[in-house]
Amino acid sequence: MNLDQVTLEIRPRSAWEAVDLGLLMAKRWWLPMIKIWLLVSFPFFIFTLLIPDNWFWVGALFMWWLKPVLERPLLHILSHAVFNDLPDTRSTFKLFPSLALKQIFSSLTWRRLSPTRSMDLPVLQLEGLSGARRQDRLGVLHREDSSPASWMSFMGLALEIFLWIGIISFIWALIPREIDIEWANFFFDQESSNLHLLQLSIWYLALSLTAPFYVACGFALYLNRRIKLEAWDIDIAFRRIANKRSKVNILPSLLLTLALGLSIFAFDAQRIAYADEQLPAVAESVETSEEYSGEAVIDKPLGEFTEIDRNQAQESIKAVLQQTEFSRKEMQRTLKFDEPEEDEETSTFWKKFFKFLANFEGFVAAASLLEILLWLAVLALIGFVFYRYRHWLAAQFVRIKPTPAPKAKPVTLFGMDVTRESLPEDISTNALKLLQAGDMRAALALLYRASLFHLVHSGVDIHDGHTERECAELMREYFAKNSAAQTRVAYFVALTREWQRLAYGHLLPTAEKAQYLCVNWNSCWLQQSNNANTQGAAE
Amino acid sequence: MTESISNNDSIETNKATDADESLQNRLQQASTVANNLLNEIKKVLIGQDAVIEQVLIALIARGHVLIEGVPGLGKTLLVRSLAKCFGGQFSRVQFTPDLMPSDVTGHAMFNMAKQEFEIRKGPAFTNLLLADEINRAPAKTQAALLEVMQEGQITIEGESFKTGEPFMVLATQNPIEQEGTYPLPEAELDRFMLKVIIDYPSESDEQFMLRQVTSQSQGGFGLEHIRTLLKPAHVLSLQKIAEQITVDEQILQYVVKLVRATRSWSGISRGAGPRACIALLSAARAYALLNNNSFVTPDDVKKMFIPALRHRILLSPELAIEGIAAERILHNILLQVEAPRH
Repeated sequence: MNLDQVTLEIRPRSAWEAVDLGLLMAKRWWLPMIKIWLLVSFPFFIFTLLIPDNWFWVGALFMWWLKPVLERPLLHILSHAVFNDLPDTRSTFKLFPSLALKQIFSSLTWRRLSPTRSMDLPVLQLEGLSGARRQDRLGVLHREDSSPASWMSFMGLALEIFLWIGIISFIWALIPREIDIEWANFFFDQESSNLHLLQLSIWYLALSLTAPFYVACGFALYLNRRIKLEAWDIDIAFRRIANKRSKVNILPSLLLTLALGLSIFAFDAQRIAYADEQLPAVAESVETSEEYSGEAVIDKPLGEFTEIDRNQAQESIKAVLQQTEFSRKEMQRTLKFDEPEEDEETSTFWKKFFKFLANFEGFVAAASLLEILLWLAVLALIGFVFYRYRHWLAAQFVRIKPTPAPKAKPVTLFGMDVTRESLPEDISTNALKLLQAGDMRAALALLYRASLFHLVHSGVDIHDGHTERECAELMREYFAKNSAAQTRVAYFVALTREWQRLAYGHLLPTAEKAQYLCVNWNSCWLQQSNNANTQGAAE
Repeated sequence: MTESISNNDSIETNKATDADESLQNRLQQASTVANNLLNEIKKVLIGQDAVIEQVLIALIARGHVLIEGVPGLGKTLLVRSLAKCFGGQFSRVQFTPDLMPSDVTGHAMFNMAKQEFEIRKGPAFTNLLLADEINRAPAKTQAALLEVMQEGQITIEGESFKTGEPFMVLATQNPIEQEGTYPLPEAELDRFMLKVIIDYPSESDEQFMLRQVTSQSQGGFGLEHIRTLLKPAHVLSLQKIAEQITVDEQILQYVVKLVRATRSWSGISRGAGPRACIALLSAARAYALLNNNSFVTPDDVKKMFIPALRHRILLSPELAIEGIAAERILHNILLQVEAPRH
């Protein structure tokens, strides 16, 4: 293939610009491409139509799966058309078996779902590479500008599906509403219909519409990459200069035939010399241009690939860059402060310091210490939040009661001293004594105090806010199931009543009642106490 | 506790025994009468025993009641049956946004024939005044009740007129409909002795009520079956007896302690004023009377604390936003303030 004959503008493009170029290429050579596509794919389509209708999706998948093989003649057409050598359909069709069989197995198996399929196809088909060499080549090609290839695959598939659905919808939209079609029968009944044939045909149509564009876009990406890698544009620029030179060489002979004088010839020679002066770098190539005039400067067809000796290339590039044309020496004068002496010392100090820091293994320990500190801070923060909002939390989760800590028995209750020490040994006797002395209030107070003491110690939970009557209620509830303690409960209720009358109503109890209460205290509280408590505990 | 009480005290107590006994008898009678009254109203207003009790307490303690409840729970029925029970006058004022103060109290009118001003007394000149939906009237009309509630008198054209004796205002308000209402000002709220929350009756009570109401031939509420048990003058004597109920020094201190606790309690931004102390003690006395007690116990105070205080405190914004009811805070106060110690 000849770069002279190239029908595109050769210049490095951005990836998506290359895709755009691919679309233009597909538009320009759409007719030959679609012709060969239909020619090679139609037999397969006929084959899919023969698949039983309840397996028609297999046919659709089969057509889709074969695409990498069916696309190869399209690429063949494109690769030649680009170099102004559009092959005719007949020759392409003849070539199809050889094109199709190239690495067909891998193409239809593990490479089938490769997203960069369109861009990779030319490596296989045009450069004829396989195995590790193909992999290396792909690695070079994919180094940049290959992401659109994946996007093209995705968009191509999406486009196929949308086209399929769109065409079906379009046909459906054209059906008049008067024709009452029972759609459910098509999908759910076993009734045979030719709907699947229509669907397959539409699918084939969608594939046919997208395939040329997909192949062309992939090829354009591949071409763009090669233009960049092999600097075709520079090559072409050189070629233009060389052509100009060769034309210049033809000019004197033309002039001779016009029988012009030697002086004019000499003038022409001067012009050549001038041109040589102007372009010293290409002078050599111009001299040798005679050897391949009329042929490509880079005379490698696309189908071939030659390995470059990298080291040699690198050396020659280096040698070229060493030349005076590529190097430039300038002398600049600037003012600069003299740096003080000690600066050097500090800089060495800092150097040492940073070196030390770089190798400092204590960082690990410091980091873990810091981590521990951070976690501690987090825990402290959580603790603080809990403490700060404890009232709110308590209000929210009031049901969750803390396990009742063994409460210290109250030492004073209702302002009264309710400890063992404050009470005399024999309550009844002492109370009776007080009663006989005429101090009824003191006697009742003693009885009530002693009762409270026993009540608190038998486990009744009495708070500051409880009144006397509430104490009696609490006691009644506490001993509700304890029949042995009922006399005690009755006694306490009676005592409470009398005590309230005395304390708040200033009403003295009758002498008999007071005596009764004093006498019965011991029998009610002491003798049954142990009994009742053990029973209460058991229950 | 004062461990010793002097013999002198007991001697004095013995001397006063005769007076005590007559008081005891009168108290006994008063209690019976009050309980009869209670039972009579219970016959008509079914399933609202606590509400009836509190309204009676307010009547005996010369207080006024603010009843809060959704419509249809028998607020008007309660007032009418109460009025009928003691043969008192009853008038009802429906508070509307365009109600004027003179519509409640009365006004002076020029009589063309006699060529002189004559006073036209308003509905407030009665024994029981039902101010229905009191928060629907603007503040100026609500303020018309200030004088009559506190003093039991109304001043028209510079002349003061006594209202009926006994006099009691029962105001109702609806807790759910707040659109287009005027919340009662603090001065007005403070004049109500108790705020009573009237709630739906229990299922069995409701069934019983339905059966009874539908069995009536005219379909009324059986108000005509209520007997007039006493005269307005008897109510006045009930009130006097209630004022004679013994209150120990400790009870006074307890009442003051409870009310003062609302002023320093966290969660309450404005506590109750001194009027709350008076109302609480009077209500506790009336409660003791109803229970046939000749003296007030801390239990009576506790029982009356929430109805007497719940409309007098203003919760802090945080608690109000969280929707915590005033009752819950008052209950906490009851639990934590020490009961009287002897």
